[in-house]
Amino acid sequence: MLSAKLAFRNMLAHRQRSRIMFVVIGLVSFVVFLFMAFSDGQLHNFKTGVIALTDPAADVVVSARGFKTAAEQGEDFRELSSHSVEGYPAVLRELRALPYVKRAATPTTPVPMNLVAHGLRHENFTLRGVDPDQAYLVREHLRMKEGSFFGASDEPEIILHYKTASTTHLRPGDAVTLSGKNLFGQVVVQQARFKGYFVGEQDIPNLAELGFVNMAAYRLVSGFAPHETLSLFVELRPGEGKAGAIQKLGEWAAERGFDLEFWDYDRQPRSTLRVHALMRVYDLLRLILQSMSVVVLTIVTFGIMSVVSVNLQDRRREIGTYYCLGSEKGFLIRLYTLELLMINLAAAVAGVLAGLAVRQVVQSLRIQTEESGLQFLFGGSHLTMGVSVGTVIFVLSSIVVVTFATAVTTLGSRLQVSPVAALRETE
Amino acid sequence: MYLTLMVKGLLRHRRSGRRLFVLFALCSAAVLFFLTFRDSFTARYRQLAIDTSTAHLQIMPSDSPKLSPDGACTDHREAVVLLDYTQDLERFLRSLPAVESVMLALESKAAIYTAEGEPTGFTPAVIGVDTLTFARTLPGVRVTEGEQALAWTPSMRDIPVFRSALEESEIVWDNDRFVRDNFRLQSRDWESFKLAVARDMPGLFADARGPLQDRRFLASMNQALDRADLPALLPSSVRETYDYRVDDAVAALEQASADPPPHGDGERRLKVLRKRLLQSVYPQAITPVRDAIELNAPYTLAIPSARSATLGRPVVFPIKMTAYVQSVPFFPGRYYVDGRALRARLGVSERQGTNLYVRLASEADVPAVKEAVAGWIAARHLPYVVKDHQELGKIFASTTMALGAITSVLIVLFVATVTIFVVNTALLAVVKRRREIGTWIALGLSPAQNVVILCGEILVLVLVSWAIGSIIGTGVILLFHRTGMPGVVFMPGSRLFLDFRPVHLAVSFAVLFFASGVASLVPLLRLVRVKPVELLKEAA
Repeated sequence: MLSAKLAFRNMLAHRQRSRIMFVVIGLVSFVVFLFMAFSDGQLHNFKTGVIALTDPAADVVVSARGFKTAAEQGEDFRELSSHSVEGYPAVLRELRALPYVKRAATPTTPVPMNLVAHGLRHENFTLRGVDPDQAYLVREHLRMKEGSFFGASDEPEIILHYKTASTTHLRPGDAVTLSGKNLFGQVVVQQARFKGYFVGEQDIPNLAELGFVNMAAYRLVSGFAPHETLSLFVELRPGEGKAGAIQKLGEWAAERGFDLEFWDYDRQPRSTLRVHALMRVYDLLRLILQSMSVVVLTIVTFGIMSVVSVNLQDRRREIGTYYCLGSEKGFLIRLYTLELLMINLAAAVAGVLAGLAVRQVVQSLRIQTEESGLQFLFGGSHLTMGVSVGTVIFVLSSIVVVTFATAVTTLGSRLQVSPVAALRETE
Repeated sequence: MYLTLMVKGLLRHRRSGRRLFVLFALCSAAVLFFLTFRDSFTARYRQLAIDTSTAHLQIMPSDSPKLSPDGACTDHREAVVLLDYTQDLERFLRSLPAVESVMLALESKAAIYTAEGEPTGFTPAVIGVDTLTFARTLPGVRVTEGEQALAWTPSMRDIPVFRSALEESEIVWDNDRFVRDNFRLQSRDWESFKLAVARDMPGLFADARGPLQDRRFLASMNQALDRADLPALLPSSVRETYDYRVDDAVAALEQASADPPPHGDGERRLKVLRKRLLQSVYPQAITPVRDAIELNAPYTLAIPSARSATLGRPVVFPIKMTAYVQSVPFFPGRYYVDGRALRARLGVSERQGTNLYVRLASEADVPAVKEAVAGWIAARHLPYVVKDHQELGKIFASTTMALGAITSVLIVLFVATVTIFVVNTALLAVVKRRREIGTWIALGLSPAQNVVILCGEILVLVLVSWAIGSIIGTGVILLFHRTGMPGVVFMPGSRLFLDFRPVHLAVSFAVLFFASGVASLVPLLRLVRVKPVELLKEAA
C-alpha cells in the first residue's frame, strides 16, 4: 500500500520526465487498438451481417439425441437426418416461453439448386427456407431492392440477390423452375414464383449465390417433412450462463418428455460448425495484425528502457534518500515498477480512449461501399470499427508486458545507488 | 572542429544513449523491412494473379458470363458464350510488339463427380487451354505435385486434368487410418465391440486377452490396413454370407491390388479400400469412409453445352486429375484441361473459345495495348470487350489493399516513434548539458554553433543507427528472399519471397533522417533564444 502511495506521488512529481513515455505508449496503444478495432469490425460485420442472414444468433444448440455424436463422427447427411427434430414449431414455442431464453429459432439446411428462367439455366444457387414464424430474423438482415418479401401465400416463392438481376433478367411475378437434387438425393423439378431482389444489410459478393424460398418451396426442394429440422438455436438472455442454461434445458426436456440434447454453440462438431471459409481469412488477418503489434511493442520497449534508465539516473539523489531512510532494494523495485505501471497503464487507457473516439467518428460517418474488393476487406458493405473486451485486454496486457520487461532489464542496475550518493549530491 | 566536438560529445554520453541507439537501429530495420514487405507482397500477389488467373488482358464476348456484376465470384448463367478467334484478330494481336503470347481458352463452370457419382462439393471453373501456349500465357500455373503432361489424344480414355492445389477445407482427413471418432459406439457398447472384433479376427488380435485398451485396439485396426491378406482374415460368418457392401468392398480392393495406379499414392488408396472393407463388415459401428480428392483417381466432369440462348444438355466425360497446380490461395477451384478435348466433346471449332488470354512483355504495356485492342474491336463493330488484369482481378485487390494499408500505418508509427524519441533526446541535451553549452559559449561558440553541434550529434546517432539497422533489415530481407517469409497465408506455400530494392534503403534513410533532423531542431532552437549570459551564469 505504501509503495503504491509513494509510486502515485512520484508519478505526479516527475510528470514532466514521464511525458515522453506517456506519449509513446499512448500512441502505440492507439494504433494497436485501431488495428484490433478494424479486425473486430470485420468479424462483427461478417458474423452479424452475413452469417446471421442465414443462421440465427445462438448460444445453445438443440438437437435430437444422437445428432451431435453422429455429427462428431462425420456422418453424411442421410445419417444425420435420421436424428432430426420433428414437430419443431411446438418445441420452439415452449423454448421461447422459458424465462432464460431470449430467442429460439431453427436454421434451415441449405439446399444447392439450379434455376431455369426465360429458357436459360442458372447454376449453383444455395436456397434457404424462411419460416413465417421467424421471418423477422431474416428481415433484420436484408431489405428488398425490388419486389416484395414473402407473404402468406401457399404457393412456392423465391427471392434472389439483386446482383443476379443482370443475368437472370427476372421481374417480380415471373415463373421460375428450381431443379436439382433434394437433401436426400431425390431429383426435384419445382415451379416457383419470383417475388423480388434483396440486398443484405451487410453485403458481400458471395451472397449473390444465396436465394430464399418460403416454406412451401423449401419443403419441396429440401425433402424435409413438414415441421422437421436438424437443429434449433437458442439465444440466452444477457447474463445467463451457458453451462447453467444447458443443465436447465436438459431438466426441462426431461420433464416435458422431449428426447433432445443441448450443447454449447461454440463447441459444435467440426462437420456442423457453420463457419464460412472467409471467416478463416478474417481470423488470419487478425493474427497478422496481432503479430505486427507485438513487433511494434518489442521495438518500442527499447525506447522506454532508455527513457526509464535516464530518468532513474537523474533521480539518484531520491533513490539514495530512500536507502538512507532504510528502504530495501526489493521495496524500491516494487515502488518503481508500480510507478512505471501506473504511467504506462494511464497512457494505454488514454490510447484506447482516443481509439474509441476515432471509432465513434468513423461509425458516425457510416461509410459504405458497393465495390467487391472493399466489401471483402470490410467483411460487409459498411466500414465498421468494432470493439471487444478481447481487444482492450490485448492492448492493456501488452502494455503490462512491456512495463515488466522494462522493469526487469532496467531497475536492477539503476537502483544500485549508494546512500552516500544522496548526501554528496545534496551538498 | 564541429566533427571533433560531435564525436567527443557522443563518446562522452554513449552510456545513456545505448538503448536509444538500439531503438533507432530497430526502427530503421523495421521501416526498411515493412517497406520491402509491402512492395514485395503487392507486386508478387498481383503477379501471382496475372500469372495464374487473369493474364494481362482478356478479350471476351460482351455478353460473357465472366462479366457478371462487378466481377463477383459467382456467375449463375450456364451457357458457354463464344467468340471467334479470326485470323484477322490473330494477325492484329501478333502485330503488337508488346504482346508476348495469346491463348484461346474455352472456359465454363462445371460439376465434378467421383466414380461413385457423388458430387465433389463445389463447382469449379474448367478451363480448356491451348497446351502449346499455356505455359507462356499463364506461367504461374506450375505443377506442384503429379505429372507434367496435360496434352490429350483421342485414344485416351480419361482426359488428363490439372487442378488448383487443395485448400485445407477440401482435405479429407483420416480416411486411410482409424481414429476413435470413426466409431459410433460409446461406453459399454464400445467395450463389447472391441472384444467382438478381437474374437472375430484373431489373426489381428492374437495377443488380446481381456479388455482392450483403446490405443492398442486402434493400433491393431491400423495394422490391419497394412495387411494385403485382410479379406482372408475376416470372420468366416462374413465371408460365407452374401452382403453386397462387403462384396463390393472386396471387389474394389482386389481390383486396386491387381491394377495399382502408377502413382506413389497406390498404397494409401489400398488402405482407404481396406478401411472401407472393415466398415462394410461393421456398418453399424464404423462411420462411412469418405473419398478424398486425390490424383489419378477417376472422376466425371459435367459441363454445359456450348449454346448461348437455349437450355442445353450437359456434356459428361471421364477425367483423371494428373497434377495439382499453383493458384491464388483461398481462390481454389480452377481445373485446366487440354482445349482440344473440350472442343471435341462440345463440338466447338478450333477457332472458337470463351475468352482470349493475352500476356504482355511488361505490365507497363497494358494501357497502350488495351486501347489498341479496344480500338480495333470498335472499328469492326465486334460484340467483344477487352478487360485488363485490374478489372478482372478486383477480387484479389482487397487483400493487397488491406496489407498495404496495415504496413503503411506501421511505417508511419515507426517514423513517429523515432521522431518522438529524437525530440526527447534533444530536450534532454538542452536541459542536461546546459553547463557544457555554457562552457562552449564561454570559449567563443555562438548559440547557433551549439545548435549545429547538438543537432549534428543526433543526426550522427541516427545515421549510424540507420546504417546498422539497414544492415540488420537487409540481412533479414535477404534471408527471406532465399527462404521465403513463413506465415504469409495469402501466398502459395504460405511463403512470401521478399525482393530487396536499394530504393527502400534510400526511402527509409530519407524519411528517418528528415524526420529526425526536423524533430531535433525544434527543441534545440530554444538555445538560440537563450541569452548566453544565463547559460554562463549556470556554468559558474
